Amino acid sequence: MNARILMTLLAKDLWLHGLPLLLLISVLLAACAGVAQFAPRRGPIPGFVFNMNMLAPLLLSEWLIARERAKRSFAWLRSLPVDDRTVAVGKFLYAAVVSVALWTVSSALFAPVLWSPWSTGLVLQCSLLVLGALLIGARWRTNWRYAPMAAVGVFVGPILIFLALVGEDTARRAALVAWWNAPYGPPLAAAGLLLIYVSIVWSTVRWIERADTYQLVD
Amino acid sequence: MNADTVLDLVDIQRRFPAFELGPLSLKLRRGRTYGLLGPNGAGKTTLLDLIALQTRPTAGTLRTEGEPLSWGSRAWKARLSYVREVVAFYDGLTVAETLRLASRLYGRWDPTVAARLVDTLELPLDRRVRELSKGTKVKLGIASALAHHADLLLLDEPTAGLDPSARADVQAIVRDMARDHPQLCVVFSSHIFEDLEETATDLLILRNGRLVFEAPADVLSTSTLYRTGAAGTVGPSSDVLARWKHEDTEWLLVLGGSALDAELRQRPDHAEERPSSLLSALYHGTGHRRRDDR
Repeated sequence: MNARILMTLLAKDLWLHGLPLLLLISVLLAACAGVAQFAPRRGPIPGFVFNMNMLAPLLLSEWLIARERAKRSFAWLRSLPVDDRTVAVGKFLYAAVVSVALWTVSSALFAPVLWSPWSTGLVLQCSLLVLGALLIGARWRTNWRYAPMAAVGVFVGPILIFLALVGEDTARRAALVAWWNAPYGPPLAAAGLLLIYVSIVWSTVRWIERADTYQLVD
Repeated sequence: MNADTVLDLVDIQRRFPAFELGPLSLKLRRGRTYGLLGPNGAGKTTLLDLIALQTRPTAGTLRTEGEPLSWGSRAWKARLSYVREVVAFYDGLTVAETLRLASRLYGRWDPTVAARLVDTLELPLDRRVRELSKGTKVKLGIASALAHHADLLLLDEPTAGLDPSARADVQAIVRDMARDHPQLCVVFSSHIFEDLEETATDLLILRNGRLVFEAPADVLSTSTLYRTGAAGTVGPSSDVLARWKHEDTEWLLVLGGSALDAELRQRPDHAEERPSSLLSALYHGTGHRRRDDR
């Protein structure tokens, strides 16, 4: 992987999507600010902030991958002396930087409670990275219109099942709370999520490296 | 491998569920403009995709400078330029930004050449790609190809969908480019044979994934087309450039001035045909059932 080429590709994506990205971040922050006004005692709105942050990877995957598929610009990029790994890693990196920046700013402003203890904010950040990677991977592998929904389903489904399983069982719930409150709990959860993130990135990059170009464009 | 050979395709093959290209072998040489002719679905784009490492071969190898090319080779991609039928630069970038992006990705980019090409091809630097006609996008592709001193330029149906004037422009550019860059090898695909009559130094005709004709274009101007009702009276011969059969009539394209040519001129069972375009006759003829024994 060539760092100079990676920076060129990141700059290209920033140039192409910088303005809509700025608009998106402004709208999401404005929405958080607006909802915070109506929150009880103008308090934190952790759920809303997290949900808003889930929207960003959805849109980013559309801009970074789905549009390149549809416009076939990825075919041109692939005919240039750029290795597939750099292209793919560049997209994941771009999405990750946006996700981290947006989550850090929005949660610090509108839901600081999520950073107390700090590990909760970190686990949620890692889960947002996983969602972003799932969406980018799905968009890359298929132009199926329901692919983003399927990716969100893969992300949310296990969480809902897990919560349903522990919800009715006080013993399980107590064990979960104890595990979460243990010093190793959240870091372990964050590490697990990061491992999932790296696995998705790695498998997508490997798939792209082996794919024919017609599989990467519509 | 000859030093003039840019790329050697050896028994290259690509299988899809409903289509198979090859196996075919071909040498692409410097200073030649190959006209790749074939109907839609013949495999022209697949062949160009294989050369540009956009599609993996199922079998066979691509060799350059005696070494097999590895899948995704950046070094190889740096030596070629590929302008697809659907020319797909980034819509949101201007012509200047597109050239700047290409310049940062190609190691051998020559800004002086790029500036001269922008001028010669009358590229509107401040216009966004989405506002360009297909003809201008093809020119942009050609500019980026020549500015990085490509050894091989692949043009996939660059004239498809263009009006006659734009088509003539592209033909002239390809002709001038080949003249001004004697080391460049160009592969220009089309299903319109008139496109290639003016530009190609070599002709390749692809049908149903098979290379059915391969010869220098000037051979056509000296060869003779014979028609005979008695199929099979001429055995396999290297003087027969192409042979096809249609409705009990066999057609032979014979190397001009060859011994076979002299013999057939004397034979009453073989009539010489003088079509208005030999390339057209050859192209349509090879669409009929072909006998492989030359």
